[in-house]
Amino acid sequence: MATSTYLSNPIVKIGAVDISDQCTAATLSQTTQELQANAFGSSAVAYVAGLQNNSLTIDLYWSTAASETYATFKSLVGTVIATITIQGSSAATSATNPLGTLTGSFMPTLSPVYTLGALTTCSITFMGGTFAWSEA
Amino acid sequence: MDRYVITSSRVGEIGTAFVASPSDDIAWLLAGGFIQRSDTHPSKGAKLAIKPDAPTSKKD
Repeated sequence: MATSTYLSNPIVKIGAVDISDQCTAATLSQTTQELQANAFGSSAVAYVAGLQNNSLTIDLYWSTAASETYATFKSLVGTVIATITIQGSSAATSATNPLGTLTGSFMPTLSPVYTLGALTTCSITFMGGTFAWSEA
Repeated sequence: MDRYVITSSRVGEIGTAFVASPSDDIAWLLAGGFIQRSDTHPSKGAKLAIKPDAPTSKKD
């Protein structure tokens, strides 16, 4: 089978806090700015790498119980998060279960969505910071 | 050195010691109820397996 299927076991941690059981989606965007590096004589557009411009968006249920979503994130708005890690499963880190670490990202917004007849959710985007994969 | 005990399963096994890494935000973990300070010291009833002044040789 050519794809990896994750049914329920990805791990998302904010620092040491495992928030996986409130999380329904995590979207990582590992991006590097592209800088044009053309000069006279160039025959095609060429680029070199600029700054990293990473982001991670996680969708969560908005639980206000002790040690849940609200308690975890209420004081983090407007702060830089030291480390956020994301991994496909709780198995040991390896080449087939790499650990992604976003270091020094900024959390600008906390926006719970209260909807009639549905569980309350929130989507949080962490912006910036350095991202790296680890296989060991 | 401050000691902490885990109080939420989000951080680890509840009741066990929390070993902080340099990147851990202790104030945030305390405020969120994930860990608590611990003043636990070895029990006064604890006994050493070998007393420091116990003779080690049976000769003489």
